[in-house]
Parts: sequence; C-alpha cells; structure tokens
Amino acid sequence: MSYIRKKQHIANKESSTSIQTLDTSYVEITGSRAEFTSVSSSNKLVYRFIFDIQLTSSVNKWFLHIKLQKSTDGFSSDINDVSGANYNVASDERNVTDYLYRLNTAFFVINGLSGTNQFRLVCRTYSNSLKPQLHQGNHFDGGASVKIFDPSLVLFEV
Amino acid sequence: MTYTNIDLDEKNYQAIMTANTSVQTTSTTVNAYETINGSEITYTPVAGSNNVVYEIGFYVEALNKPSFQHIILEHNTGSWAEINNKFGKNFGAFGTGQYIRDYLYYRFIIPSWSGARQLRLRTATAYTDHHVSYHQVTKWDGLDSVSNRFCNTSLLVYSV
Repeated sequence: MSYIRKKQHIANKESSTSIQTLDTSYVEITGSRAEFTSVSSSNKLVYRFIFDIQLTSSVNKWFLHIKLQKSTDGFSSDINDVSGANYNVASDERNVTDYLYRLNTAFFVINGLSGTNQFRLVCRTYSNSLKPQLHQGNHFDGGASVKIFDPSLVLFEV
Repeated sequence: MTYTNIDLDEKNYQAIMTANTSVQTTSTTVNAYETINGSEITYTPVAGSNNVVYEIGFYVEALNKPSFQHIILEHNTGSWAEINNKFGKNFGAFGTGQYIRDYLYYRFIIPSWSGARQLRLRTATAYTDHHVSYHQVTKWDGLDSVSNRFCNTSLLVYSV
C-alpha cells in the first residue's frame, strides 16, 4: 500500500489579542505557538511571525532579547532553544529618549526536525528600565487612541 | 508500505539556514560592496512562473557610532550585476553615538527567468566609517560584552 503525505502549512492570526507587558524573565509572545508535524527530517521548516512592539507610557526606550524555542511535550518539561534562532531588537538604549515603534518579523529556517514539535517565540527585556509592550499602541490616528495589532504566524515545511 | 512526500502547490521552495560563527564587519570604504554571509543561492524557477520571491533574515548591530548601509540584490547571468536599482535600499542611524540592534527581514519579488541562476545580497557603506556588524549578538540575557552568541542567516526562495 502506498501513501501520499502532504506537507503541512500553518497560517494563524490571533483574533482576541490584548496588550502584553514584559519583564526581565522570558515570556511566550502571544500568537507565536504552533504544533507542527514534519513529513521528513531531511526537509526544512520555515517559521515566520509578525508582531508589534510599542512604547509603554512609563518608558521612553526599550531593549528586547528574542529567541525561538521548540518542545515535544507542549513546553511542559522538554524546552529547548533553537540554535542560532535568537536576536536583539532595541531602540537606542543610551540616549535619554528614543521613541521607536516597531513591527517586527521573526523569520527562521530550521533544519532537520522529525515528527511532531511545538514552536514558540519568547522574549525578555534587557533591564527593568527598558521595557516595551507588545501588540497595543497607545497613540493612533493622531490622538491617544488605543490600537491592537493581531500577531500572525506562518509555519511550513519545504 | 511506501510514503511519497509531495508539495501539492509546486513552487520549488529552496531554504538555507546558515549558522554564523563569526562577526561580519562591513568595510569602512565607501561603496566597497560585500556579500552578506548566507545570502547566496543558486535557483532554478518553476517553468511558467511569473516571479521569484527572495526572503532573507539576518542580524545587525552598530554601537555608539553612525551607520549607513546600501543593500542591493544581485544576480549572476555570466557576471554578477545588480538586478534592478529599485531593489536597493538604505538603512542606518546617521549621526554620532547612535545604537542599532535589529533583525533585518527583507522580501524581494523578482521577474522569473529560465534555468539556474545565482542570487546574493550585497552591502556597502555610504560614508566612511558608517560600517555595521552582522550576525553577532553582543548583549544577551541581560549581560554585557557577550562574544560567543550568533544569529543564523535564514534564506527562502520560491517561484510564484
């Protein structure tokens, strides 16, 4: 008997996003998690996640560490950083103020995974004085309107 | 039992992950272009496709200095040349004492072609000493002066 296995392609957009505040410990970024089953370990996975980084009302600059993690038990006990899938993104952390508002894209090619794995993006702030917020802008349309940006995730095998 | 793995949506995806192990500091000389590590690929578009999509992500830092880089996309049709200057872009923070820490993600949609062709992304400084450093993350987990942490270059090319 022969079977044809189609490669999985996930496209998720959060629809009930709310503001996410950050700290100096790693937290999972809302909307960044997905479970994926590979058809072959010789293939590669492409992880592409877009989310919004905004200033809080109490800080005027920010600094984030961001990394991709994988798990085989839903991040219960098996939690592993994906090697090299990590970066910083920051406003100018030295000047007194640097009002940077940033739509950020995490884009990673991942080699050689077999079976079913869960993926998520986590982040922490560099220090307590460099904390942005995620998903919610406090100033929109020329005023002080609050605006939510829904993060979106695409994950597929090639 | 036999399994056949197929793409029902044939786009001839080609993906490359380059695990960087050293910093790539660009030249201080104006318009001295160099290839961004992990950006080069040889690609054959799907017959009948209209365009080729080139997506790339890589890390950049420029600390306590001015920065200003030109980025251009090149192909090799017998010799290397810029595909079209409309695919060029600048980035940087002009002025003394500036800081950049960022993950750069670019997507280019290029008219398709026939046969195999090389593509690469190039970078050069616009002004003397407006160079940048790619791939190395020098602060991590709240610590200063980290020297052994690097960010991969991720590249994806496909036909549409």
